[in-house]
Amino acid sequence: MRMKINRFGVILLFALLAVTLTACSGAGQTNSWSGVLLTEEYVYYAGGNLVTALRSDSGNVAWQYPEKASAQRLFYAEPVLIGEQVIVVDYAHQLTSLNAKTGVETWKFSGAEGRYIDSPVVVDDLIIAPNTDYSVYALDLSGNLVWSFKAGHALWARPATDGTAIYFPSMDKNLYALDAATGSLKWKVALDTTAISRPLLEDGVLYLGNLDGTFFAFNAKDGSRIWEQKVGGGVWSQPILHEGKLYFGDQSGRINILNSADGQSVQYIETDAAIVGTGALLDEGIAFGNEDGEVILIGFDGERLWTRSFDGSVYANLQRLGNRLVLSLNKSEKPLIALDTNGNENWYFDGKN
Amino acid sequence: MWDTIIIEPFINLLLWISKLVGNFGVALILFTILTRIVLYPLTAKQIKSSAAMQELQKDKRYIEIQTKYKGDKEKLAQEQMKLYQELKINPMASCLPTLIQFPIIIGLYQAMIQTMATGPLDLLNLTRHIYPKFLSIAEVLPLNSKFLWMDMGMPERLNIPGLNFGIPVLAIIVVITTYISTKIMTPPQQPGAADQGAMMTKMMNLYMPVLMGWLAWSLQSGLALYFVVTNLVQIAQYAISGNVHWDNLAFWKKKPEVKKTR
Repeated sequence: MRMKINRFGVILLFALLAVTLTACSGAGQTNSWSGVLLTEEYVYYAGGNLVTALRSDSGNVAWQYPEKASAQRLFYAEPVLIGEQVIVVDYAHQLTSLNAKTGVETWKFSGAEGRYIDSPVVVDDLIIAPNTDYSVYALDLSGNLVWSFKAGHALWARPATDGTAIYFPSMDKNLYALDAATGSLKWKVALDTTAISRPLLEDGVLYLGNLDGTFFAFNAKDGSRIWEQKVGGGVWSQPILHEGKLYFGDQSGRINILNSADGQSVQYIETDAAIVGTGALLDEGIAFGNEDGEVILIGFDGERLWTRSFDGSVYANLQRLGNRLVLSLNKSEKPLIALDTNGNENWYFDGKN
Repeated sequence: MWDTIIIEPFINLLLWISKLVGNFGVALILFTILTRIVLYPLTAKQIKSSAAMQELQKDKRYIEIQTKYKGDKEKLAQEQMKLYQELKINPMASCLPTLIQFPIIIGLYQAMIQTMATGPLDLLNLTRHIYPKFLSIAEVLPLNSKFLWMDMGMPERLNIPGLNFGIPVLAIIVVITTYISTKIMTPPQQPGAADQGAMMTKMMNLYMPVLMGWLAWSLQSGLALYFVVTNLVQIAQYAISGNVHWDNLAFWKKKPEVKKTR
C-alpha cells in the first residue's frame, strides 16, 4: 500500500514538473495578439485557439471554428474574406478556407512548415500568404499551390499589392517585390534592420518602418529609396496616409506624423505606452491603441481629442467600419469590444461561447 | 527584479554569443557549456558531499545505529546527528548547491525561451530586454535559428523521404542521454539500504528520461538541444570527479540482492 502511494507520489511529482516546465516555456500561451475582420454582417475574430464569427450589430456568436479547440492550433492573424469564403491561418502551419456564413471548413493547405503570423493578401484569384518558414505561398481559390518563393528569413507581415506585384519585408532585413502572378523576384532592397510591419502602398510609393525605428519611403517600381526618417522607437504597424501625412505609432509610445513627400516630421504626440497596432481613420481624426489599454483619438492636426481607457493592452490593429470601431485587447476580461466612433462601448465578447 | 538580475543578463549573453558565432544553435551549445562550467564549483561540492554521504552509509557505526534504533525515530535522528558532527559531515551540503543552482537553471531556461521569440509578443518583450549600450537590435536580429536540420524555435522532426512522418531524433537523444546520466550518477545500492529509497531511485531513473523526452518532443528544439548538452556536460563533470558508476549501465549483469529492512 505504502509503495503504491510512493509510486503515485513520484508520478504526481513528475506531472507537476512537466506542467511547470511547459508553463515556463510558454507553450500554449498567448504570444501574439488577436486579429479582427469587420464586415457589414459579421465580426470575424481570430482570438487564440478559436475563430469566432459574431453578428456585427449585437455581438452574438454565429459560429466558431474549429469544433474542438487545440493548444497547438492558434489563430491570431486577421481573417480574410474572399466572396463566400473566409481564410484563416494558424500557428500549426495551416491555411484554412471556411464558409463565411457557417464556419464549415471547405479546404485546407498544409504545405507550409512554419507559423502564419500575419494574414494573406488576395491578388485576383490568388491567396498569397507569408510564413515563418521563410516562404511566401500563392494558392488558387481551391487551395492548390500555384507558386512559392523563399526569402532569407521569416516573413511576419502581410504583403502590400498593386494588383500586379506584391511587396513585403522579411526578417532578413530586406524588402522584397515579387511578380504576383509568377512569384518571380522583381527587386530586393536593404532595410538595415529587421522589419515586421506591413508596408503601405500609395501612388507607387511604399512606406514602412523597421524595428530600429527607421521609417522609409521606396519607389515601388525599382525599390529605390526616396527618403528615410528616424522616429522614437521600433515601428510595428502599417501607417495611415491622409492628405499627404503619414500617421503611425511606435514602440516608444509616440504617434508620429510625417510629411509623406519628404519624410519630415510634422509632429509627434507622446503617449505612455508602446503603440504596435495600426490606428483607425475616423471622421474627426485617427484613433490609436496603446499597451496601457488606452484608445486615443488625435485630430488630423495632431491635437488630442479624446482618450478612453480599457482593462488590458491594445496591441492589435484597430478596425473601423461605418460608425463602428472594434477593439481587441490582451490580458482583458473583455478581449473584444465594439465601440461607436466616440469611443463608447456598444457590446463586448468575452472570448467564450 | 527576477528579470533584471537573472533573465536580462542571460538573454544579452546568449544574444552576444549568437552574434559572434552567427548561429543560435551553436550559441545555445556554447552558452550551456559556459554556464555549466561557471556552476561547476557548486556541482563539484554537491558531488563531493553526496560521495561523503554514500561513504557514511558503509560506516560500521552508522549501520549499527540504524539497526539499534530502528523502532525509535527520534533517538535514531539524534544518534545520526552525533555521528555527522563527529565525522564533520553536513547532510545538507549536498542539497544546498542544488538549491542555489535551481533558480539559475530556471532563469537560463526562461532566457532561452524568451530569446527564441517565436511570436510578436515575445519579440516585443525581447527587444525590451536588450541592453542598448551593449547590443543593438540591428546586430542581433534576426536570430539564425536553423541548426543542422532543425529550426530552434520549432519542435524537431527529421523528415526522411519515403516516410510520411517525421522522426523526433533529438527527443530520442534526450531520452538516451537522460537515462545514461541518471543511471551513472546513481550509486550502487548498498546491501541493507532501505528498499523504499531504492524503489524511488528506480522510478526516478525510469520516469525522468520519459518526462524529458516528452518535453523535448513537444517543445522547441532549442530546449531539446539544451537538455542534450546539459546531460552530456553533466556526464563529463561526474566523470572528471571520478564519481561515475558505469556498472549501472551493464543491465545484463546480475545486481546484488537488496536485503529488505521491513
